[in-house]
Amino acid sequence: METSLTYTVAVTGLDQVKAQADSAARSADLASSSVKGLQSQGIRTMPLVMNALQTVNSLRSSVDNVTRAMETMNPEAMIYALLSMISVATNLMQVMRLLRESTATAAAAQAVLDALAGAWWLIPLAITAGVMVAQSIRSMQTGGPVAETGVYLLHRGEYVVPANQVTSYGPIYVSFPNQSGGLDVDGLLRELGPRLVGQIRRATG
Amino acid sequence: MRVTKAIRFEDLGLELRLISERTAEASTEALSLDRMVLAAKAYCPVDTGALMASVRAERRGPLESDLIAGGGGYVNPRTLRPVDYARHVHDGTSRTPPRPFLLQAVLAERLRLAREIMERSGGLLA
Repeated sequence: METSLTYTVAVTGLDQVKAQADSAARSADLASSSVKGLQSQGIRTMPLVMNALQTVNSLRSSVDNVTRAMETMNPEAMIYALLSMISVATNLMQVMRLLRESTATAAAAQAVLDALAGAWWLIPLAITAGVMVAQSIRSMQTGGPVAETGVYLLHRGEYVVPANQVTSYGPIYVSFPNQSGGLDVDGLLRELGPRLVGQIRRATG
Repeated sequence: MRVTKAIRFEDLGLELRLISERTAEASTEALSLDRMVLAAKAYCPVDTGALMASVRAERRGPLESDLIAGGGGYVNPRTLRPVDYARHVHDGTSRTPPRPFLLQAVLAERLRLAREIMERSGGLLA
């Protein structure tokens, strides 16, 4: 007959934690190097950063709610909650791709990171939020018609044509940047050629 | 509960790699079950105090510990017999009601244990 009574207490699920964390870490390394590269371009986008922070505030409150809910969970659920938080970081692969597309994204993401520096596990989430915000700040780098009203990232030398004058330019929109050394005809043709071809193809179906 | 740590973005990859290692370390430390043992002793019915004294934690592995009552060489000072009645007290008999002091301690302290692991993980990160 057993002389003692035993309850075993164990922590499980750490293998999954390790697999998820390692995967997220690889993505984070790639994202970090991407941000460094973009920051080195010296782009200043503080107004965009402020927009990013406002949006993230609402995101942060929703995360706070999840955190509070965790307090009522059992130990196994807590571990899985940790897994769930880490899995957010797996979005970094997609984030990294987006970071390459917009310098504004890099700056916004970095600002969000700074704002949420006190909650380290929110960082992957914050990066994702930063990218979501920057995605909404569209760029007109490739030119063309403005499909939606909203905030756009404009680059030095670009022109914005008022809507009531657009029809006079026809279906092909061409802008000539101010250049102190005269017009770069070769460059313009190189840029214009593919655009013309594309327009013609679209027009001819 | 929120565990916080400020890190540089460049260090995020390193920190993520260390999460599982640090959580395992924190789990190992928390599984000393100090608070759970105290709770079990508090819930344990007392006559001579031998059963309460026998409540203890024993390590089975880095991520596993036992919360034990009875056995272990403990002796009842009145009967001078080993404390072998833990299950009868805990689960009850045909004549006595159950007094599940170990189960109560596990249920009452499991959330605190999980929280302790998270906090220790955060502490290790800091």
